[in-house]
This record gives sequence, C-alpha cells and structure tokens, in this order.
Amino acid sequence: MVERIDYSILFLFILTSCLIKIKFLYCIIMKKGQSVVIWILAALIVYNIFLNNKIQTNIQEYEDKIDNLQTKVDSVNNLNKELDMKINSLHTQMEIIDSDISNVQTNINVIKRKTNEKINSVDQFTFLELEQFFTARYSDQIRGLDSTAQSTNRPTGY
Amino acid sequence: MDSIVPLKAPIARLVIKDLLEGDGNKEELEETNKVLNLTKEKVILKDDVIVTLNSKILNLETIIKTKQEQFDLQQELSKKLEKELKSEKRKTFLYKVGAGVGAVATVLLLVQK
Repeated sequence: MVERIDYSILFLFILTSCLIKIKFLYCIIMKKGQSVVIWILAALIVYNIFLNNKIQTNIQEYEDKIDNLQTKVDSVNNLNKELDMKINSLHTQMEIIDSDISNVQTNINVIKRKTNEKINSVDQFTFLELEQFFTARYSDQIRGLDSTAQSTNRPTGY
Repeated sequence: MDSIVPLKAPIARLVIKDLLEGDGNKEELEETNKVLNLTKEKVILKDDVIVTLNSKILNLETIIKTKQEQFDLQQELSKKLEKELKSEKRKTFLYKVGAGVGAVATVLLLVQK
C-alpha cells in the first residue's frame, strides 16, 4: 500500500491547530456560535491528522495477477520457439528430399535419352550385330536350353 | 525338337527396339517409384509441419487470450485508481477549504479580542 501525504494541507492544519491552541482558553468563554465553529475546525483537524490516507485498491494483488499471466505468456512463447525450431528442421528435411527427387528426375531423363539413343542406333545394326544382340541378351537362356536338349537326347538307363 | 523362328532383319530390328524400349521403361519405372516414395516421405513431413503449425496457432490463441486478461486487469486497476484519485482530490479540496475557513475564523477571533 502506498501512503500519500499532502504537505501543504498538513502545514495548514498544523498552523490552524496551533492558532486554535493559543486561542483555546479564549474560545471557552466566547459565544456559543463561535465555539461551535472552533469545535468543527478541531474535529476537521483531528479527522485529517488521523485519517488513513492509504490507497484502498490492492495494487500488489493486481500486479501479482498480471505477472502470473505474463509468466504464462512467456512459457507459451517458449513452446512456440520450440515449434519454430521443429518446423525449420522439417523444412530442412523437405529440402533434402526435394534435392533427392531432383536427382532422380535427372536420372529418369538420362535413362530416356540413353534409351532413345539405343533405339535409334538399332537402325544401323548389321545382320551380325542383330544376331549378336539376341545371343548376348539370351545367352543364359540359350545355354539352359542347350543343356536341357542334351539331357533329353541322352539315352535313358545305364 | 528345336524349332527355329526366322525373322527378317527389319522385323528383328523392331523386336530389338521394343526390347530396348521395354528395358528403358523398366529402369524408368524403378526411378519413378523412387520419386513416389520420396514424395510420400515429403507428404508425411508436410503433415508434420501442418500439425506443428496448428499447435502454434493454438498457442498464439492462448497468448492472445492471456494478453486480453492482462489488459482487462490493467484497465480495471486503472479505473479503480482513477476513482480513488478523484475521491482523494475531492477530499483534499474540502480540507483546503476547511483549513482556509479555520485560519480566517481564528484570525477574526484574535482581531475581535
């Protein structure tokens, strides 16, 4: 709680109270109306001196509440920073995947180009090259067929 | 019994072309499958990003709500203090008037004597 003192008022009241003390005895014998005025002034001085000038609003309570809310905001902000870091990491991973996809696309283009080159070169194949192509391509199968043929031609029973 | 299928050279060329094209297509398919798998991975990552961004949105909404509460409290405090200040000013004015009247009355009493 914050106390506030109005020094100018305090000074005026002290001055007034001093004057009243000086004239206190005189006042006793004065007329009733004047006495009433003096008593009212005295009451006002007492009220002012002993009046609690403290601020009634509990500022500390409000500040505590606001600080607590700020702590909550800070913690959520920290969470968001962690989420930002996670998002950045995911973006980095996606960039790596994009790069891989780009490489594979390049490979596909190379394969297409080479296939076209091979297909176009077939027109220049000689008879021997045509035969060699099939021989080379199906050499394993031809060998297999030969061995099967030999085993089937072999006389059964020893 | 072996059976031989004779092919004329142009037909053999067409067959070879088809075979080569098929080989190329196989390789291309393998690479395309790689692209597909990579794209699937990317989609999963993007889903993760979306989920994370949604969490961030929720957090930001919480921050906005909390800030609003803070603002309301500040406003309430300001209003209360303003009210008290007005009340104190009023009291101060009354005391000043009272003190003035008192001083004048005292002086008058002294003069009368």
